[in-house]
Amino acid sequence: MEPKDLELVSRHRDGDQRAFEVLVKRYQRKVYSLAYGIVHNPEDAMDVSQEAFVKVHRYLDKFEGSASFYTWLYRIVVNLCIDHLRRAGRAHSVEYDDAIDRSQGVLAATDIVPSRQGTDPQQMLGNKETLGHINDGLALLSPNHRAVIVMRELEGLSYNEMAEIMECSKGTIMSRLFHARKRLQIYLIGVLNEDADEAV
Amino acid sequence: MSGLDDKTLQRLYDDELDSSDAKQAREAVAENPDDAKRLESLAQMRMLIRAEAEAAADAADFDGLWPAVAARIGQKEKVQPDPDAADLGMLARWKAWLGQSMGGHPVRWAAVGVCALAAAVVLGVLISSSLNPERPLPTRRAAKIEAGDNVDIEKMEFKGRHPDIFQIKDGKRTTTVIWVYPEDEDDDENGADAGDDPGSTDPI
Repeated sequence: MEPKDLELVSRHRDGDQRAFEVLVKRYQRKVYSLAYGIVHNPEDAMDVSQEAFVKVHRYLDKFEGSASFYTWLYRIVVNLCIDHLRRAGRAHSVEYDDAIDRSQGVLAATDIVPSRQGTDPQQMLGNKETLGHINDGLALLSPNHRAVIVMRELEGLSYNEMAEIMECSKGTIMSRLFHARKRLQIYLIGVLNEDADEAV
Repeated sequence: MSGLDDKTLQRLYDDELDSSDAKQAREAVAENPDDAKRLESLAQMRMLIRAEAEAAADAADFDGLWPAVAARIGQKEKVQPDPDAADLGMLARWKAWLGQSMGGHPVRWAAVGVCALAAAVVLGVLISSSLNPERPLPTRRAAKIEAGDNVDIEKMEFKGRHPDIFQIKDGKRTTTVIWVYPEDEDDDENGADAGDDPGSTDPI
């Protein structure tokens, strides 16, 4: 049975260097995916991942264990990503009101992946062009919106966990998630249906 | 038109409704094809985002990540030596020892406090007794060498006078002092004691 995160943290504090290596290897893919989802550049995502683990190592003695280790880790990653984008001048300041504004329309009752004749949704998933569209769609969002949608869709984090990581209210998380989904949905419906039309 | 508002639909999709609200929402979705389609659309979006993230992670090379992190951790320790571990003197070592052995142990801190207090009291008693005018101050032991003592110089003559030779024993060390009195003092039988005013003499 694999040791739990807190057990590894405790072992690291007791001087077991191998414990930290296990933690890094356990989370490296998740950390990278989260970082990549926010910074949208493979090299930058790897740099952020490395920086995040170095920072975790530096502050691990201060980790109180009241929150889960991964919540604490993801907070470090998200903050590093946003700092990175700010430094690079790539952080969009566009945010939406906390309230979910119905005037902006509801989530569309439309297939994102076209299921019309001649298009195979599974095939589209493996298509580099399709994946590129998702990348482009995520890039349209602000870093905060990207962070919530990536944490929710990839890691399945709860609203409370995301609120803790992003140090904001649960309502703000819900709002960010709604707007992120809404924008991404509109974009993807447009580009993927265009691709499907061309394929037919 | 949909029956569920976006907030409820999203919370239903994200499994953030409590069980009774979730049950109610699911019943509403079952009765409204539009809501079902909206849920399906959210699911497709999740599928696409995951597929994109998986592809990105598959393309990444994680083999170098841990060695890079390990190197940076090691490098940092070399560039910025840990004061707890570095040989920066007694204070740093004392702080390191305190940090390792005292952190989070109030009983140990209390013990150190008691010891420090006791040491302060003993020091205070020593200082006050040394300042007491009724008690003589400790003096160095000085002995005039007599013939037959185990020294290399037993007798000296300088300008027709015979200096005194003293040995001052201070722990393991012994210092030999040759004291030559000025002519007038040497001649004066009631002259000042050599130890009273050494500045007026010419020690050799």
